Amino acid sequence: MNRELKIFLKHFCLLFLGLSMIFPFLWMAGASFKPNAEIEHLSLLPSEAHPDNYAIVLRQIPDPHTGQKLNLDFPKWYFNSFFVAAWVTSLQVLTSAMAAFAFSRLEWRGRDTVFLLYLGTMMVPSVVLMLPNYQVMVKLGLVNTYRGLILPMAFSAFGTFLLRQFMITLPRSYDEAAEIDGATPLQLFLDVILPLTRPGIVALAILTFLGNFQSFTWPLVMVKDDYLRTIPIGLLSFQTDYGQQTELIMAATVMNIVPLIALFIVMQRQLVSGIQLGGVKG
Amino acid sequence: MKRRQPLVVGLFLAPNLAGFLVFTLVPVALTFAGSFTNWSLRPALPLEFVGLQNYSRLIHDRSFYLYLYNTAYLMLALPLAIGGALFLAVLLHGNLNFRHARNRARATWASALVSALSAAALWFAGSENLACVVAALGALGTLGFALGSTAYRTTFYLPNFTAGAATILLWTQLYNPNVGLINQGIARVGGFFGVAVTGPGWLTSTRSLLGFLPWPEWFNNGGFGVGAREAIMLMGIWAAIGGNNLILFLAGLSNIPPELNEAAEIDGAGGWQRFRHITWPQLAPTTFFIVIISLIAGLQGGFEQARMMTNGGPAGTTTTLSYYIYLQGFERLDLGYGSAVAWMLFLLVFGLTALQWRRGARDGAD
Amino acid sequence: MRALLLSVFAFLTALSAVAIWWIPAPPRGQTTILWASSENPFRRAQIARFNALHPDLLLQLDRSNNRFDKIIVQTSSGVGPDCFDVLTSTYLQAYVESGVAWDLSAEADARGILVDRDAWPSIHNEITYQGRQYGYPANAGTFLILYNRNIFDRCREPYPPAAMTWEEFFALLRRVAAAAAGDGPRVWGTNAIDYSGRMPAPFLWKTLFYSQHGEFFSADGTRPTIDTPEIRTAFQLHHDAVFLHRVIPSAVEMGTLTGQGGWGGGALTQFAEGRFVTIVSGKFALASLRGFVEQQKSDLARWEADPERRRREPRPEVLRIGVVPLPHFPGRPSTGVALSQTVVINPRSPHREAALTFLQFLASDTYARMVEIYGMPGNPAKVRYDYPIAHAELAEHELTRAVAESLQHGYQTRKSPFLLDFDVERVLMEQIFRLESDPQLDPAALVREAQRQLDELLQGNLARDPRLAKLYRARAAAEPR
Repeated sequence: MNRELKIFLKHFCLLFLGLSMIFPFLWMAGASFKPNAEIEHLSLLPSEAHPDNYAIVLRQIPDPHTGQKLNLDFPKWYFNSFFVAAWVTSLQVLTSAMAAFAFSRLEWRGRDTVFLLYLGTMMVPSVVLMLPNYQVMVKLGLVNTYRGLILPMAFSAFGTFLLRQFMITLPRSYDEAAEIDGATPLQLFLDVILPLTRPGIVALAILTFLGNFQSFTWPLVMVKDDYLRTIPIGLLSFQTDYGQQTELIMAATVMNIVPLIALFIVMQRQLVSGIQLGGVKG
Repeated sequence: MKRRQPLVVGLFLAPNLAGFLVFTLVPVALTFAGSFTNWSLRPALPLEFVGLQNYSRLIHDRSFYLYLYNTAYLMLALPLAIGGALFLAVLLHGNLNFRHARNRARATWASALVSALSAAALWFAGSENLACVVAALGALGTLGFALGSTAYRTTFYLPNFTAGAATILLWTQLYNPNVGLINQGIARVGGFFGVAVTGPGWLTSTRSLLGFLPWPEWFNNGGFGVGAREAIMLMGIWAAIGGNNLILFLAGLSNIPPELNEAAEIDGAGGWQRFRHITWPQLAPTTFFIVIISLIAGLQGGFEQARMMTNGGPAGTTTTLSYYIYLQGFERLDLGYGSAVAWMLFLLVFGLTALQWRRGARDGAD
Repeated sequence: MRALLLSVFAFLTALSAVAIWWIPAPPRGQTTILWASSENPFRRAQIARFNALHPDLLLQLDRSNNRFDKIIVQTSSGVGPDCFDVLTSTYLQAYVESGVAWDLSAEADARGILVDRDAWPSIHNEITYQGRQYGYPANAGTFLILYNRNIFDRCREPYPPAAMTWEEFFALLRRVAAAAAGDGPRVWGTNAIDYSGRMPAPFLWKTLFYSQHGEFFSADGTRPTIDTPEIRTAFQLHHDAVFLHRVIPSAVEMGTLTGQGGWGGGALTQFAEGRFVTIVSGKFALASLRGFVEQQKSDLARWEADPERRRREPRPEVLRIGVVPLPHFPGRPSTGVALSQTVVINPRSPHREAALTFLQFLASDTYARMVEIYGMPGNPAKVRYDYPIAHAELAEHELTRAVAESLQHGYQTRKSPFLLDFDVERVLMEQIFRLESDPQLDPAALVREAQRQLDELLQGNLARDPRLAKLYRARAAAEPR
């Protein structure tokens, strides 16, 4: 078959799959411009654009239901989500990479047994771990603090496992060459292994950052004070006993994810170019 | 260097291990101990060691088997979710650019113009929603032709950004048996061929595609058809093929030295042969990772959907083990029993993982 | 790589500095009371009023929307808010049994917040459990039938009578819904779906059950009384309303965007838009409907000011509601379940005394005046019918009178120490969802199945807790069979 035609067909398939993926986002973007009465309709467009929803969330104009400005701080929520996710991601990538290095490039007795134990802890359903985990946090005095939001998420078997899988594929010859050059394990780790694991690290960073930016259950129990609210917890403000202001949730969510999409576009480019750069360096 | 090895290992492990011990191992050990007690949220009930009582109760608990069946049933979607992601990853990693820049420009402009014109026509004809859809398709096409895989990757990852409440609310709406878009679409396609088709009951129905399985009478198998379990599986596949698995596969593909493929191409290997002999074996560690993680997530899965979409219903057909643990621990206040269920689940996952592990080791993934 | 690592952590340090700078200073010389409740349009005014009256105290809202698991996890670990909202006695029972609600019976009288003396008798069980008091009602309420006057006027039907049987009610709904829809989109007879949980749940059967003054347990609490005429009738009539009269959608059909966030919300919006002839709701509907009517009025004003639009479109309607008590069964008075939003104190809070002061505020005249706009004070003596009417269309005073009337006749089901209401609700809910999913299923068989499951659960509880078993034996022996 003609090569150009083949490429055209690829695009064609991807387009229709892509449409199904983009649909919820379109609907949400449309809903964020609807008045409350139209939220339930499946139609993508509001009968009359209602950009007030954004202004209400950003406290530029009062909420028509109460005639008062909403009692919330969207920029602070955004900062908190970003702050927590950035710390968690950096710590997790660093500690996971170090542990993965020990589990893949270093030889020691009982290595794989210890690793299986590590993995094992991921298999205990998180539902039962919630209460004991929380009690540990109470003992450590970390409830209702930024540290309480960051630390428990920063050390994961998931990241260690992922990066180990990337590290074990690298040829042994790198280590041997480094050893002949007299490099210390730290130099081997920083200058050889880390750059070569770049796609894995970028993937882990994307997953961790987005996952923690939007995580709900843990911050819900950790946060008591308003100033610590992250975006998902902040969104609870739009749910009251007397119904929820879905249109405001949608406006807030759109504002929440548009910067994230931009970040994703930047990050995923690193995913592709990984090996070429790594190849040059290594 | 060899002599200092234990110290080096210790130093590299220490940061992760320290956090891991405090924040993971301690709670894990507590629930393990708890599963042998009458651990309860009721303070009036003094904590007592009850031996294997929770476990023997579990063996006779028919709800446990039903919910285990539900969990396993929902996991049937995993191969599709993983395979779909792999297929997409290979497609997106490959070359999506036309050989001639002229063709690329042509395709870009053509898709922009055609979609803009037809969207405008639809808009003025009064079907505004269809116009939006066509415009979105056109925009995506234009970006896709111009930017290549970046546009698609971002698009496919979108369901993960809108994750949580918004997606769940929208799907519930789409699945509405009477006014939902899916059943309306089915009816319209049927109407086109002159047949009156009634769509499935989706989230309202206890039917399932394996509903004909012989099963004791207490199990509400609902008969053959498409029901709530299929609805949840479909939604899961939709969210998974473009999500984290795709990212991981893409990372794995980037890790394959391009020289390998180039050499094979020079030797005249076709696309399938290159996939079979280069991509697939080189990707094995990533695939292995995804399979294990999906197994773990699958056996613990279905919680959010049960909590937010179905309450575990209709008639318990979408209650999975993790939701059952929640019900036991928090609604029946019986954490000891919840922990026992959790540890039974652990045994299952661990067994399956160990099995995979040995297979992975044999296939050279380890 | 080293440079990258360094710059990342330098950036994080800078962010941390910003975060620390952004932490608000703790209040000086004031005791903070953290109240886990949900935001509502009037909450802020109430909090501001309390804080103005008590300069030494600082009441703050923890907008956690009464998530049961959050409160349980936090409070049973010894932290948690100082006080929190409890909606329905089912949750009160669970909180008390898990030891996270403070028994304030000893303090209540001295503080002037004794519910046995003050509150509507029909809501006592929302605040007390096994004879002990655990909180104070922030407001009280019952369910009524709200109807859309515009629909009745358009169809030239007389408004529903103040007293009618369920059969008459369903017949009326069939007639009016058909006339209202005409050839246009479907109009449903009534919306009786409970949106207070995680997802919409059928509510009509419960209304029918309460209407017969049904009980889930025998008087001594030793037997779940599920396979009884009351529940069988409720299931059968629910079945008929969904499949025979077709006046009410099933809960899953309605399981749309209204899923989260309490009674009302989207359901009230649909009612206000004329997609339902009536709705089973309460005075709390005013909290949402006011905003809706406000918007409809401003749309009407725009229409009147715009000659172009006046030519093109019919005059936009402004919702006008009417209210009648719930229908009744022949030969029985109209009755239903009474509810309250109860504020309960965390037993491990260091600020329990301050929280008691807050409960006293809930019992005050000041608070009663503020709550009357959308709810009923917990104390009948504090109900005044002369607050300024904001929207005559919403029958505001009529609603208040009707709710006060039905609070007199309302009741709360009794609880059993041997089986949590959570279990009763879940088991029955599962069966009612089955009922709605298949018209062929026999309602009586579903009721029998629920009875069987609950008997089994109760026996399981006794087997696990020897003290409970002892209490059970004592009670069962005392009961003459």
